[in-house]
Amino acid sequence: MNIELDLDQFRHVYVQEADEALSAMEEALITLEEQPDNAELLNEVFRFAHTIKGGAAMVEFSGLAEFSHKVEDALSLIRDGVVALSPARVTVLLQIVDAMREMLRIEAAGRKVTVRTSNLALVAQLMPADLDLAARPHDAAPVEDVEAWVPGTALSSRLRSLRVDMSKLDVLLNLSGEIAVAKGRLMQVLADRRDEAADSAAEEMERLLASLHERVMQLRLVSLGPIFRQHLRTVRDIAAQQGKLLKLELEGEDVEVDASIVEQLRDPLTHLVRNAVDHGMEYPAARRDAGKSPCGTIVIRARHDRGLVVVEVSDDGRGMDRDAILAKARERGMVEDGSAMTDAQVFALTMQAGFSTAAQVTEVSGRGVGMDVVRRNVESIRGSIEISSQQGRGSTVCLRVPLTIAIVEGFVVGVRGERFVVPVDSIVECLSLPLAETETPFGVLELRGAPLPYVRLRHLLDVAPGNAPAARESVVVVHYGGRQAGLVVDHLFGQTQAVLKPLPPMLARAAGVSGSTIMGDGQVSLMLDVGALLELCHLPIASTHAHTQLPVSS
Amino acid sequence: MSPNATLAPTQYLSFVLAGEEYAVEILRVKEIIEYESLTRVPAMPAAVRGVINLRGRVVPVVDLALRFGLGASPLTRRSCIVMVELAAQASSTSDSSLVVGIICDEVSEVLDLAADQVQPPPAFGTAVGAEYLQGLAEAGKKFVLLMNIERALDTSTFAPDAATLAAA
Repeated sequence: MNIELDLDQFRHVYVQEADEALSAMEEALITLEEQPDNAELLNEVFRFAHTIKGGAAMVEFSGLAEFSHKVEDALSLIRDGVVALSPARVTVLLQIVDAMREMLRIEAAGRKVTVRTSNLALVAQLMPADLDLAARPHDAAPVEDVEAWVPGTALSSRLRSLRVDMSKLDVLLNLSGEIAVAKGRLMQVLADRRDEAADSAAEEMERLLASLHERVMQLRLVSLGPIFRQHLRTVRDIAAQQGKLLKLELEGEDVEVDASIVEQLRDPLTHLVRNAVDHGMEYPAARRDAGKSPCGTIVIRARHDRGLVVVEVSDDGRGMDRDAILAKARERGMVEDGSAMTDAQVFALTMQAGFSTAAQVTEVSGRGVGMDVVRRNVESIRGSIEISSQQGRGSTVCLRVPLTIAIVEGFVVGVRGERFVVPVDSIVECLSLPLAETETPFGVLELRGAPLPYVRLRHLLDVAPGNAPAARESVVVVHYGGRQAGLVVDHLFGQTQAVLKPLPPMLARAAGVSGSTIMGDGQVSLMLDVGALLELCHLPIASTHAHTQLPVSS
Repeated sequence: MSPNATLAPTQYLSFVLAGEEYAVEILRVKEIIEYESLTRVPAMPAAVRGVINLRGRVVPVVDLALRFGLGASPLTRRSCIVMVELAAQASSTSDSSLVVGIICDEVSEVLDLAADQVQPPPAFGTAVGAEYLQGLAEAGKKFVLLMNIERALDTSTFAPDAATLAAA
């Protein structure tokens, strides 16, 4: 076996594992800050440092090996109670983690690194001034045990896993989607034949394929924990810098979503957390004056809700100032008056491009920098975003995103001769259009005592008239952004699992369409973006919370 | 590129569009399929007739006759869709090249054209503007217009859709 190649492979595995160990070490340190007497945690930190050192020596990352050896020594002093673990020392240890990460990065890139004096000074800060290191026997951790690191076992039971390139999973998922399409075609052929034996074999295959498909989807699921936990450090550091008192609480870390969604959530989440710390949170004195605990709380929580994943960032800070936002929006010509707008609509203004260009805007409104970017990111994965806030009490930004980008539970509708797919998660119910409703593009019907504005999709999507009109039209009641509206269609064809394919770049600006999917018969159908569609028709939409002014049926 | 590349003839695929014969470099042609029904995409320029499933890939189909103001291509038994491959656009995020289908009245033949058979396109007088042509070739007794397919399919120069979305 080629030894060099072997070492390269080891290095590759080591870099990933050391990176994870450093993150775990960081987390443990932050918890230790609150529980300085937790011996188990301290041991864990020590073990992580030890693992990193052992591995570094084995893969010949000499700089990191030397430095982590010194860190391990210092940690053993803390573990043995020679040195107390003060918050200041936790800060130093966190800086040490950063330094180790930096060295790992450099050595992973194939360059040599020596231990910097500034880094040695960090370690020195952990030592008591009068300690004679040479006098202490190395009982706890023998220096030469580089065998301690075995590839793949660094974090042993915690991470017993196989690393697979994301693109391989993408291929698998695509293939699985294509099989579902091919299966659909086969089922259609079989349906015309009335062959019992073939039908039962096909049913068996259908069941197995469904289970295979589900497994493929599960492979791609990862928990939100890691992208939540990375903020523990950010919040701590920014708060310390700004002289604010803050704690970050995490809920629903084990909620799982498709890996591609996690990636798309990373930036928006960072932005929201930073916004909450920078702009949402008051200084301790101001909080005390407002009768609140001087220490602010930011909560990141995740939960499943009707096939979607809800991620919220809440703070108990100063909240948003409705009047200030409206004043700003009027000044910028974004609204005329706005006094009739609901709070959610007013807060949503901060997410429009061009709302906040100057820093002081956010000082007034408590939010806003780059919120349009956050909104775009979230909408690009077919998610939605909503802000609620109470002045003086805090704000909550709620993101709703699909579990996966690639597969959509769709409902197929027919409009004259054309078929469209509506995402099931935006559908409330389907009903027949009352015969009394006339042939107009728009209208309002009564649904259980409440008015429901509707639009004929035929009109909205400019479908050629003439082909296959239905004897009786149907209404698909959809919800989007807290509102409801009806889409009038000719036929309801039923539910399907659609593999969403982006439209080719040439057609990317198709309005009201989020993508395309290949149907069971091989034809392409368009997936509708309900929210964008309804925005297109300038239809004042009924609010589910309050009865606002409704258009009169023309 | 081999040293005598400029001397070796280049192969072109010729096709008929609104009664005139055009050709594209055969290396650009991915495949030719019979015309089948397309899925219309709302609010697109009229020349973008829709999308089609090309073995799991969703591909736009363009009617160049409509795009050049020569009237919509009539659909007959001989109508074909020529799938051409465009160089990846800088703005496009995917690394794969872009495949676009063009509707033509019929596919004629494969031509071997040497460099000295190709002349610059005439400044005017052609049904299609000279900016969309890269040359004119004499093949046997007829003239064939060599199309600059990148320019011809540049949607930013397409006439906007006449039918506006239902609004207001």
